Amino acid sequence: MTEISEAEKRRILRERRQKKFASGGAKSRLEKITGQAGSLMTTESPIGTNVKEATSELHSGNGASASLSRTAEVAKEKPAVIEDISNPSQQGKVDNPSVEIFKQLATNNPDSVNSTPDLFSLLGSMSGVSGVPNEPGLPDLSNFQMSTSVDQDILKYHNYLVDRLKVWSILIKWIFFLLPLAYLITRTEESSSIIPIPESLQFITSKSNFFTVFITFEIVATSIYYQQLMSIEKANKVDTLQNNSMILKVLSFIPADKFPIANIRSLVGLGLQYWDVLYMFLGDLCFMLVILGLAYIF
Amino acid sequence: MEYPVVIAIVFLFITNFLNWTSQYHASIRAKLFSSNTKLTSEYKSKLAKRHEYVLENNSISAQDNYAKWTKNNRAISKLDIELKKLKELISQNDSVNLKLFKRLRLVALTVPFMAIKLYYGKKIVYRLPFDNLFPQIMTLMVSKGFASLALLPLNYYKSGGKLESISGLPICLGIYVWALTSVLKNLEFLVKFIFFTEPVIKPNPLRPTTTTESKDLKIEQDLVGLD
Repeated sequence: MTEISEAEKRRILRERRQKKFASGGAKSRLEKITGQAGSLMTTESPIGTNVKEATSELHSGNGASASLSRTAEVAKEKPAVIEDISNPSQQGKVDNPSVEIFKQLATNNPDSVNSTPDLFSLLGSMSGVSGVPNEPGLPDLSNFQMSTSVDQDILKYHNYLVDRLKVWSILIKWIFFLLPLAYLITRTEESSSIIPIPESLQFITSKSNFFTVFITFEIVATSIYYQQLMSIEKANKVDTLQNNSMILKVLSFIPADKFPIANIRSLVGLGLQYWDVLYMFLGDLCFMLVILGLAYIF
Repeated sequence: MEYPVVIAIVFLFITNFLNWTSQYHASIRAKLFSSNTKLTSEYKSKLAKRHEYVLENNSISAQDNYAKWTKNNRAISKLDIELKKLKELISQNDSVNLKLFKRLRLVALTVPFMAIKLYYGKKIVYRLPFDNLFPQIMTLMVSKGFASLALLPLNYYKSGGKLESISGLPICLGIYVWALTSVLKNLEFLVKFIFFTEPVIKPNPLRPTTTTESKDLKIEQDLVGLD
């Protein structure tokens, strides 16, 4: 009789306890145990409903990583039972909404409500790199270089190579072609006695052919220069104009639909490329004018 | 060579020289103007004194030599205030000097240079005795300046479909100054890169990502190497 009544008593106490947990009564119990009865801090744990299996792992002496991975797997499953931390033998079901936070953290879902999107996924979604189409009006950042330390080092190295190519092209053009040409043009009689030029190549020293020879040389030199530039850009995977031109950088931040001309960025880029070629040609022409004058005067 | 040409070339070289030495202008201005020199030397002496106090304070214990430490600390605070005032005065004087220097540069260099280019822009610097070296339009441009290109359609219409024939290849002052500026700019770029730019080493590429199969680290030997 006593045993039955004791068992009955235990059953009744258990049910009461379960009701208390269901209404959030475990909080007061925990607070009494931990001595935080008057504290305003919440004692709700995001691990609430799925602690049972994880804690059983811990109690059995498995490593922390195993318990964490197990907890992550458990988080994906349906919430089974909640366990009173103070009394592992107790079992109960608590529908704890905060387990959702833990699920999201455990599965590392980037689209989760409470996770903070990182900069790269944000920029990637804006630029369409991740496959998400651009919203109309958003700037196209597909060519925007992320300012990581590696990219900056590569850009610095790339700019160094481009400058070195320019220096070499200027030196070779000026010293090995334009200077001798200016000398041959201005000192035809003297040069023919010093350097006998075969008849087939005499058209080079002819004054009437000077501009044709000059333009032909410029076309060949510019083609070689641009071939080398393309190979450098391909090797470093850097677009020189996109990264160094302030005009294109400013244009990239303005929405394309604000301009009356469609596809203005590519047009401006093309214009800048042509200007680059023209600038090199004018630089060589200026050198010729100065050298011809000096050669004539002296 | 006529004097406007010589003056224009001299102005061009002075302008370029000032651009190349721009980083030294502040120190030269400080030495030239005596008021700032006195203030700068006073600032330096007070800064040295402050440094001595700080070193002394760092060498002694605040607990053991409390009186001396606090005395030094008070002196440091006082010097900080004085240094701040001196710094403000120096920067005020420097800004006044900078304004004066800029005005001087404008009046003595920029305006006369611009006036010579505008007034004597079409003056011939030299005439090369080569006919048909450049096409006719280009010969017209180098002999009369860029404005001739803009007026070319009008002159072509006025002359009844004929371009002005020019003997030889005359180079006018405006075109020569432009050409010389371009050459000096390119030379500056060459010198800067060859002598003042450090070579950049190719950065190491990122380490390749590890394969999904992890290496099984097996202990093959039980031997332990003893020293």
